[in-house]
Amino acid sequence: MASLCQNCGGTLIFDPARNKMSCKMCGAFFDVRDVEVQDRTEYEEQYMDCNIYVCDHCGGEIIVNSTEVSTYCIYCGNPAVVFNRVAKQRRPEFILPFSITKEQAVMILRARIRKSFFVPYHIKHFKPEAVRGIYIPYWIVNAEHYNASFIEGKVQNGKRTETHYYERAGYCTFNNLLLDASKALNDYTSEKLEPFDLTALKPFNENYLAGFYSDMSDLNEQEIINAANRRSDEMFRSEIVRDVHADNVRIVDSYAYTEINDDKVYAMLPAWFITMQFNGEPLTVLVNGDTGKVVGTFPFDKKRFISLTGLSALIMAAGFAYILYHVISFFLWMYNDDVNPNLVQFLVYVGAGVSAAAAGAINRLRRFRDTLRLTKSSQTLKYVRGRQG
Amino acid sequence: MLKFILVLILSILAGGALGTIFSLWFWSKRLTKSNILGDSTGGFDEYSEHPIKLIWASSDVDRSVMSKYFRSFRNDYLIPNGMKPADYSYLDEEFPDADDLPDVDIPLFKPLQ
Repeated sequence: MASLCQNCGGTLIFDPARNKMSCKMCGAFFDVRDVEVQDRTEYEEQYMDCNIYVCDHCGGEIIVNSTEVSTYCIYCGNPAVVFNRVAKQRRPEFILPFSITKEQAVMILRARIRKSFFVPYHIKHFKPEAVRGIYIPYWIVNAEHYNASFIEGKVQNGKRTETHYYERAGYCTFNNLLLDASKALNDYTSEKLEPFDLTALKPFNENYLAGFYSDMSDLNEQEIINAANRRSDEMFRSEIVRDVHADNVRIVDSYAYTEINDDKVYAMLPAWFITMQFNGEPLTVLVNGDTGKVVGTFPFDKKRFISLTGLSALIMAAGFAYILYHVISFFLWMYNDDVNPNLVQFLVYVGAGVSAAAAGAINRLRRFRDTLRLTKSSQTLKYVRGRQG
Repeated sequence: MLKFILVLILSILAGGALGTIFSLWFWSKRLTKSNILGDSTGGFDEYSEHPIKLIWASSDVDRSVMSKYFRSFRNDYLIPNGMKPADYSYLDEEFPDADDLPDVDIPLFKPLQ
């Protein structure tokens, strides 16, 4: 990495807006393919020796080709970089270069949260603490997936609801399945960054990494198979339930087996990680560096949420009480003040509706809490702070 | 009069519960839509060009046959078709009988002196 300008010797970085290498010192631009990359042996095509330096100033790791020496940090410009170790990294086969600049990523995020009704004012007018472009390693695989699912569903039989069980076994093929190859980044987060435009993949060239952070795959062969199996199982399960004609269909359990074809490829895909502070807590939001898709969950404006919920609860409560009073009075009048089965049935239906609405609200709030944890996750923050290359 | 008061109290309590829960249901939906961004991922249709090809379908089976069904899928479909699935513990593979195992007459480790 750290390719140098042919005019002035300055460090070149990749400019997503121009799709060229740019020199920050003299302002010259170069085509990525024109910046010198040595002829490599077959082994060197697969692996690259990297010297890892650590910057004393910003603490970042700078990964540099074995033939080059880092004399200063290409990110903060500080000359106090100390050689740390040599690492042999598998060379990715493809890379999807950033097509969205840092400024565009922040602008997209601002525009997106401006429309969000419950996002607090301070977040809407956030000042980014850090904006880092990171190439996330992915395995792109084609896989044959075999699955036996055991399914439960509810069937109405007259007035009774019966639970039925179903067996469905089948197979399918998944093409260009994306598997996040970095254990440090939560799979749930990286999966939400999809889709990426894989038709725009380019053969890997270290020059695209210049100016960005990057990470390397840390999955072994078995872990790649396991990741493909987990992902395929999820998709198969979500699809196979459609084959069962019942209510409240859910998978009790499944037996999944996945075979990955030999043509899997190792690729780097781009994402912007935008970190901000809110009430002393870090929030890390991701922006897909190719499509601009924003991924993250924000804390909510509690005052606004509680006052709106409370106010509408009062209005709805008054309305429901009025309706219920008249309906119950009607039933009592019809049946000469007897508590009749129709009234009981009516109240049971009301109770069932309330329970379903309560369950829906609780599930949504739980999911909100869980996804917010990911945005606040110190794991994601550590990932952002720890990557550099 | 008592009937009127009872019906009124019942209506207020039930109406209050209904109002609170439906209000929470409505605003929680708005909250997730507003504050959870990019809450989607690539699904079956994005990654598979063809629908699932069913090998086996059965309805109204008993809950207790689940383990047997998984074991049968593994042993009668995957393995005969040349696949090598992992041996999951819940498949309850039976231990071989002691008679099927060879005698162990040579200690593998020397006793400590």
